[in-house]
Amino acid sequence: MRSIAIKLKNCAAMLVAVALASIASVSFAAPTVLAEADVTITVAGTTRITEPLRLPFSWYRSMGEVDGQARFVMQVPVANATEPLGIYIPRIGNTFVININQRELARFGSNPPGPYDDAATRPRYFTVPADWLTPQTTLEVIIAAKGGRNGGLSTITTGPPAEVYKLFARDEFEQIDLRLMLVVGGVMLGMLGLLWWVRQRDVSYLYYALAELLWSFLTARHLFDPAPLPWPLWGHIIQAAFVLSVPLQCKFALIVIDQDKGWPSKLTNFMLIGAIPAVALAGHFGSRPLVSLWIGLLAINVLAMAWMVFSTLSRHSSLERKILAGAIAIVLICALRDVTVRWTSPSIYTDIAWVRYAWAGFGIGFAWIIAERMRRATNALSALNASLADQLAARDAELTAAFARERVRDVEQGALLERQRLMRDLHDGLGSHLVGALRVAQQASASKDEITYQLRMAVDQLKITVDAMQDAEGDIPSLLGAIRHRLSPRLEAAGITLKWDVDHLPTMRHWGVRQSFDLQMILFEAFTNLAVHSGAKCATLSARHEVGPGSACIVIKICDDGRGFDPQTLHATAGKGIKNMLARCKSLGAVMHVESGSGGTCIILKVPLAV
Amino acid sequence: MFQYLIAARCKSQATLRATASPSLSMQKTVSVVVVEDDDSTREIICERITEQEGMAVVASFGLVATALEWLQHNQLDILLTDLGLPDGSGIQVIAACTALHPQCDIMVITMFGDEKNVIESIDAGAVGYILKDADYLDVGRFVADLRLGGSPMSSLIARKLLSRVQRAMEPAEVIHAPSAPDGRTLSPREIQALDLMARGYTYSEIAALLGVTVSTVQTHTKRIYIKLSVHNRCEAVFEARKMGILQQE
Repeated sequence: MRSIAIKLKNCAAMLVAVALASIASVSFAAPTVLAEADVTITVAGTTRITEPLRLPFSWYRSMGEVDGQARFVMQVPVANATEPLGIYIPRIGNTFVININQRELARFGSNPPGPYDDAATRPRYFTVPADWLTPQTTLEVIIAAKGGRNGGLSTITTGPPAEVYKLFARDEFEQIDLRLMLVVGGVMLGMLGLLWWVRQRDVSYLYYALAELLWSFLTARHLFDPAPLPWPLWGHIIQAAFVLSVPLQCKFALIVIDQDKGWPSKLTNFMLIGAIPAVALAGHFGSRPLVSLWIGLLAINVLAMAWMVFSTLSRHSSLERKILAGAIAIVLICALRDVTVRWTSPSIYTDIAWVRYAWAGFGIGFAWIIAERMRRATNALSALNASLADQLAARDAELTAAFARERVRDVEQGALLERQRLMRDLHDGLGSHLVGALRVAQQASASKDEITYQLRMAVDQLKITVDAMQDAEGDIPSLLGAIRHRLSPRLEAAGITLKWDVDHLPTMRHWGVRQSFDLQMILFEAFTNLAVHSGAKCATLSARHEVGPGSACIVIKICDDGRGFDPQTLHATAGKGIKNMLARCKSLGAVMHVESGSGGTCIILKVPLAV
Repeated sequence: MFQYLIAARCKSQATLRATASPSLSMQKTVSVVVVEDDDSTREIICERITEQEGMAVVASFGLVATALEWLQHNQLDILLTDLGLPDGSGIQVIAACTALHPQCDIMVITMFGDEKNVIESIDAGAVGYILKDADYLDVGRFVADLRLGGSPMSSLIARKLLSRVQRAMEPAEVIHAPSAPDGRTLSPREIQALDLMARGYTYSEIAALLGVTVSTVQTHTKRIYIKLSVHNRCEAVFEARKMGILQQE
C-alpha cells in the first residue's frame, strides 16, 4: 500500500524534477528517479535483448524460468559534483554488481547466484563518493537471476544523500520493521491457538494456529537474507507453507461456522492432504503449470469457504460469524486488488501484496472469537453458579423443613413415650396400691391402720413416680438418697435403724428417666419388704464402684439382721414384688442376688457401668 | 414493735385477729403467717403451730392478693405458704416477703417436695419446705426445726444445688467473681455437707462424718439455702418493685 503511495510520490517528484529541468536547466537538490535504462540480457552465454527498457524489470515476467544476467546502464544527472551521491534501490536481485563510471561501487552474491542467494526484497542504499562523480556519470547495474527466485530491478532513486536516505529509511521500515511486527503478532496468536488447542482439545484452534504460524513464516521469509536454506529446497518450503496455510485457515473458518461438511469441506481436506505431494511433484519435475493449477484450486477453495461463510451468516447470524465474515471479506477484497494490480501492470516488481497485511484480520478475528467464547463461558459459568446457589438454597430450605418436621415428630414421639411410661408407672404402682387399699377398705374387718398403711404406700408410690420425672442425670447416689428421703419415715416407724454408706459413684451417662425409675422401684420393693417382713432392727445400704477383670459395675447392697427366708423358695413362691424387681433388673442389664439365712437377708444388685 | 397473737382457730380465709398485747412469756413469741387455700389443711397447720410454745399464728390467708396486702403493713418472723393458690403462685408471696422482710424465714408447703417447685422456692427466698402429707402432729416442732436449720434437703435437690455451686466455681466464673465474700460463695464445709446430702446422708450422719453437732449441720443447711437465694433476693426486690409491692424510695 505504502509502496504504491511512495511510488506515486516518487513519480510526482520525478515529474516535478523533469518539468523544472525543462524550464531551467538548473539542477537542485531533489532526488531523481531513474526509470529508463539500456538493458543487455544474457541467457546461457547468449545475448538475447539489447534495448532501452522502462523500469521496474521483473526477470520472471520478462524471461520466464530461465537463468541469466541483465546489465542496465543509466545516465545519472549530477547537479553538484562536489557532493556525494545517494542511491536508493527498493528491490534488486538475485545477485548484483553496481558500477559508477566503470568503478565497482557494490557487489552482492556471486554470478551466477549461489544456492543461498534469495529474491532479495530488501531495499538497498549506497553512497557514491564525490570524487567518483563526473557531470555525465554512468550507473551500471548487473543482476544475475535464477529462474523462479523473483530476480529483477526496481526503479532507482538518486540525489543528495540526506534526501535519498530518508526515502530508503522509510521503505526499510515498511519492508522490514512492519513485517517483523506482523510476524511477532502472528507467532504469538499462533502459539496462543496451540495452547488453546492443547488445553481445550478443540481442533479448530489447531487449524487456526498452524495456519497463522505458517503465514507468519511466509511473512518472515523476506527477513532472511541470504536464505537460511539452499535453493531450491527453500523455495519448496515456502511454497508448501503457502499451500498449507490457506486450506488450514479455510478449515478453521468452516468449523467456526459449524459447516465442516459438504463439498467445500471435502475440497479443503483434499487441499490439505494434497499440499505436500503437490509441492513435491512440482519441485521434482519443475512443473510451473502444476503450481498454477494448485493455486487455482486454492482460489476455488477460498471462494467456496467464503461462500459458505456468507450464506451461513445470512441464515444464522451470530457475532462470531459476523467477525469471521468481516475478516474474510477484507482478505478477499485485498486479494482481488492484488490480482488486479498484477494483471494490469505485468511489469510491477516492487508492489507488496495487500493480502499479506489483510491476513492480520484473521488474527484479530480469532482473538475476538476466543474473547467472545471466554465471555460466553464465564457468563454460562456464573449463570450455572447462580442456579446452583438457588438449588442449594432450595435444598437447604427443604432440609430445614424436613429437620423441623423430624423434630416435631421427635417431640411428639418423645411425649407419647413419656405418656405411655407415666401411664404404666401409675397403673403398676399407684394404681395397684390404690386398688389394694380399696379392697382392704371394703373388707368388713379392715382396720384403720391397715387402710392407712395401704394409702401411705400409695402416696409413697406417687412420690417416687414424681421423683422419677425429675431427671437425676444418671447420678445413682442421689437416686438412692431420694428413695431414703421418701421411705425413711416408714423404716423409722418399723423400728429399723438404717446405716447409710454411699460412695461417690461414676455417673451413668446413658441413663434416662426410665432407668432411674427402674432402680428406684427395685429399691422401693426392697425397702418395703425390709419394713414389712424382715423384722429387722438394723439395716445397711452400701453402694460401691467395683472394677473387676474386664468389667466395671456399681454394687448396691441392702443387708438386714432380720429373720431371713430360704432363698431356694424365692423364685418358686416369689410374689409380685420380687417378680417386678427381677424384671426391672433385666431391663437395667443388672444382676440381683439374694442371700438369706437365719442371720438376716442381703440383696446384692450389680449394675454394669456400660451397656 | 407490735406482737400479733391469734386465737387457736383461724377459720375464714382472710381472718386477721390482731391483738396488741405484751408477750406473756420471757421468750419472744415467734409470729407465723400461713398461706394455704385448703381450709382443713390450713386449720390443722394453724392449730399445730399454735400448740407449739413460743409460736403464734398472726394471720392466715387463702389468696395471694390478701397475703400481699397484709405483708405490706405488718411484721412477721415465719411465712408458710402453699405454691398453687387460686389467684396466683406462692412464689409471688415468697418474693414479696423476701423483699419486704429480709429477716423472715420462709417455708413452702408442698405436696411432693419435688425439685422444680422447691428450687424455684429457694430461688425466691425460701429456706425450707413442709410436705403436705407430713404428720401434722409434728408440724409445730418441724417449723421450729426449720427456723433453726432449714428443712432436711432431699438428695435430688441437694444434687441440683451442688451442681449449681460447682458451675459457679468453674475457673472462668471465679475470675469474674473471685472468692469475694459476697454472701453467695459456699464455704468448703458447706460444700462437704451439701455433697453428703446429695448422696442421701441425714443430718446426724453428716454431723458424725464431719465431726460436728447436728445443729451445726442445720446451720450449714440454712446458710446454703440463704446463700443460694441471695442473688434471687436482689431479683425479688426488683420484681417486688415492679409489681408495686415494694414502694420505690
